[in-house]
Amino acid sequence: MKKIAQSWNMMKVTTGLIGRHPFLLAYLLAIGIGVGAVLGAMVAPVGVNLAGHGINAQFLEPYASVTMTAGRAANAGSVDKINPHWETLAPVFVGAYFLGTFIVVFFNVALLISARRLLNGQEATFSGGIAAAWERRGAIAQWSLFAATVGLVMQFIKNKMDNWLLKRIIGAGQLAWALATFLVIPVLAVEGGGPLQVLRRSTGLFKKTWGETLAAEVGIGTLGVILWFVVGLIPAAGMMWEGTNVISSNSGEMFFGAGFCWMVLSGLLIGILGEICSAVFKIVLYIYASEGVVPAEYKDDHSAWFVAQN
Amino acid sequence: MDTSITAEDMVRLIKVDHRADRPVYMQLVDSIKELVYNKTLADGRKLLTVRALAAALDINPNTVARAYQELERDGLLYSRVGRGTFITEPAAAADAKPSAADKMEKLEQEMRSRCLQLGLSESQFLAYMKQKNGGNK
Repeated sequence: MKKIAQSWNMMKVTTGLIGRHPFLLAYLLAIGIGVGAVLGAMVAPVGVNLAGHGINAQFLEPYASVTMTAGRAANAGSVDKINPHWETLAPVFVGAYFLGTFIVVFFNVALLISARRLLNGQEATFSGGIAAAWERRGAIAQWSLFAATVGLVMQFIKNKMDNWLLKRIIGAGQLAWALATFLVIPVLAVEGGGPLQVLRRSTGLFKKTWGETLAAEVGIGTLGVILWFVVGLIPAAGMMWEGTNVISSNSGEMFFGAGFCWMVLSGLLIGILGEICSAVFKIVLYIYASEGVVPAEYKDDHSAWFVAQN
Repeated sequence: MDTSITAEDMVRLIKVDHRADRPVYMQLVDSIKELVYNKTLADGRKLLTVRALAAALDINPNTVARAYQELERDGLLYSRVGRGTFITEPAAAADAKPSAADKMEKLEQEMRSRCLQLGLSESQFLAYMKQKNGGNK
């Protein structure tokens, strides 16, 4: 219960910071738009094919060709077998993966640069954060390439493994990678540097703050689930149940639909809140680990987050 | 005469390395101590405010506040409410730095205490030291 209370307090402090500076949310919006645009560009050729000719043997071109079920008309058939064109699919997928990683890292760095300025008592703006992150574009691009490559390689090996034990070992490697890279974004935001330098630094900082990190992440996750359960799931289930009981009428369908929408929307909003709390907390952990102090906002009666290290 | 230190002076004199293992507040304490001991700052000058120094060095104000607290505790700085934080006057700063006599006195107290713990008399210990030094010559 104590950890939950501390998580609640930490989220209150962070949401207070976001409430005073709502432009911080715009960075997450920018990530959504950017990644959406990359995915959109990737699937655009398929969309054009579908709009022009419907489902036929070429609708997945240039990424794949389709063998249709025998005996069906060319424009109304069902898919039997997909034959990927790896020479096109692989570079497009890898390119999109790298670009997506770059967008996520870039706007997260911009977010943390702004959050750090605010925690340091300085002025911060959305454009200022973007400009500062742009100055680090070289380091961000190098890290994105490195992280995307490591991520893809580990996933590829895991997918190719048949052995249960080897799959678990790769899974443990992925967990170790996630922990080692946990503080990469604040390191990029404040220090920059090459991928290996950033990785070493992030690992070193994580070793100093693993207790606080674990408590924060578990706390934010648990609180997010509880919040979603209370604010999202229970009211949504109530509305859907009401809707099902009067399903014959239009208002019943409307109730059911509204309940379902609220369940999804509340989950999304709480997820975004959790993400931004986690991101801001990373810069707090970074300040704590590198400067040896906790920013004033987080230094209150509930500072048990920060066990003495100095 | 204005004896304040400018932000430019502090940025020029104090180097903070975020990549170092040593926490930034300790680096700040070390830097200011060194500047006081080598007389660069040891003339009763007024330091920058916590916020101004934090902004100049691009660090958190709490980091500067903690460094100033440590330095005040060591007697190198003093604060006056509403006036600011100042470098302690050279004579007082010298007092704050333990002299050789202070160190010897502390050593003597520790030695007496250890002799008592080990059931030895001071004269036994001193005789042993004298013999040891004589033997090594």
